[in-house]
Amino acid sequence: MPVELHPQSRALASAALRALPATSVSLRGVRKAFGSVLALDGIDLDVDPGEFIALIGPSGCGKSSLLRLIAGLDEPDEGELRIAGADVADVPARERHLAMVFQAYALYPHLTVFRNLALPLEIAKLDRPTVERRVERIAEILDIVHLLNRRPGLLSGGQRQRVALARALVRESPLYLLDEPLSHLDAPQRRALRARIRTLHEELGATFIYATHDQAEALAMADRVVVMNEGRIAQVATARGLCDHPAPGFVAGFLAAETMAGALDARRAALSAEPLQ
Amino acid sequence: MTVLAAAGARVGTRRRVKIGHVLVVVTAIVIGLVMLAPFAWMLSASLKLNKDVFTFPIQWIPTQPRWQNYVDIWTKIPLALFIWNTAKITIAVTVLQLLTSSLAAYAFAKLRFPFRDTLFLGYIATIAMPWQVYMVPQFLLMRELGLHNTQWSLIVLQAFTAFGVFLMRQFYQSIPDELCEAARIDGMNEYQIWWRIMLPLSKPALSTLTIFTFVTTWNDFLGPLIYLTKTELKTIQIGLRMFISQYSAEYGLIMAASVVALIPVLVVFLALQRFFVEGIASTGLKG
Repeated sequence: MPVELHPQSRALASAALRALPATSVSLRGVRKAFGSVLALDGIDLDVDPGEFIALIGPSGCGKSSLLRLIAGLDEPDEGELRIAGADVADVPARERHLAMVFQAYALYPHLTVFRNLALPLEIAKLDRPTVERRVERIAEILDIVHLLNRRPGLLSGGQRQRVALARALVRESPLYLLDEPLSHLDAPQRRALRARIRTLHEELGATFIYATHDQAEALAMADRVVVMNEGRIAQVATARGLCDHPAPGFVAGFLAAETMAGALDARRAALSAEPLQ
Repeated sequence: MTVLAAAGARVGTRRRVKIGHVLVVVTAIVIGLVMLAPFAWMLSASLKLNKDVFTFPIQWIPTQPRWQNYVDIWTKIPLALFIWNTAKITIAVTVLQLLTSSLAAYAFAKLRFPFRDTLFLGYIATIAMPWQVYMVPQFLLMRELGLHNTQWSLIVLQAFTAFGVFLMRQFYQSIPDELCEAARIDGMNEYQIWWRIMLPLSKPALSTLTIFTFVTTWNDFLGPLIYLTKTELKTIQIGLRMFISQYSAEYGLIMAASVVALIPVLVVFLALQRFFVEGIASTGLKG
């Protein structure tokens, strides 16, 4: 059981999280088991404010578990999780003021796309014009303007995924957690959205933690890449560092040489993309 | 040759299916008529003089329908007051049951707390206990609280229902947990999630529960019989007994009042039946 924080310090932590443009995330010796399966086995990681971190690794390596832990949807069995320097063991998910894209979309089926995007802003008590302006802008960036009046049930997988991404990015949050946000898109869309997410990241100045099984995507977008395997961190490095000096054993095997060449090209393309209007 | 044989087999199958089909339809019609007969008898009797109600053979369509019965029921007993009393209790009980069941079901289906499943099983086990077993001690308790001979007693007793919680929880379990998680991350507290996400999604379950509760409470006889002895508090079902005096019963009037009492139940059922059917047809909520 986590130590009970003083209610006032919990409120302070929550308020601090809301006020910052970007937050640091720091994990120390974090462990999490689901039944007999050890999902996270001693994670130590420091993410700087405003950094774009990619988590890669084979499926079942603990990427999603790690994101859920940071989001506050699950509690660590052991270890310490700090966001913006504050221990958040006792801060519930809704007070962590972060945004998250779920792999399974988790769109509200009874609401139109517009209401899906507007709901988090309404909960944050933004006024109507601001809500509309922000929803429209993010809808334009993610090419979903024509879907705004539809319900999620009528959308294709790729469309739902863009809506899910929009619902997270429409919020102004110091920390964004993205769990395979582009996995159901076709290759051209994926390339286009990589660049737009990267540009949004620069613009928002917020911290991004981005889980993907696509190495090219991770290497193209991230400031630093975290390679995970079987609940542990195998290597943390910049895209360049990872390509030049992959840790021997798992990481070297996991990253095929040819992927890297393509990835570095993609990175150049993503970083030189036109700024958003 | 084979084509012919196949065609013959097909014809044969079709004929067998047809006979089976006819049998099923005939049986269904017969059972349907048997089920509907008491209603038809009630309608017919409601238009007869008391002395003609039990004539044999049954005269299904009265030669001289006595519409006066439908006028007399309002003056011979305070029927309007009884309907008002029944409506008050039924609506209060239905609204409260929807509220308490869906809230409790949300906790049992989507929140984590110690002994959750044990508590739920214990609560559900109470469905197996017939009310007749504990209605007397319960009455004594309510009398101690000074609630006997008030409509509050019936409302309070029926505001919570294990069956309703069970029904709602089953439905909530079909809604993916990730919706609640997304809502939490969007900054909603649990009450907001219940109100803005779960309730709108559970219309089929809510309308099912509404139909069950409304019909049961509206038609309840034993509850009002035990708790309400003052005439001005009575519900229709026990009020109808005022047509029965020591030596005679006004069957024509009882039937006419019963027909009137049936109308709200029919209206509620027909209004909500759409969602009810929809709920069974489209349980998949993936999205």
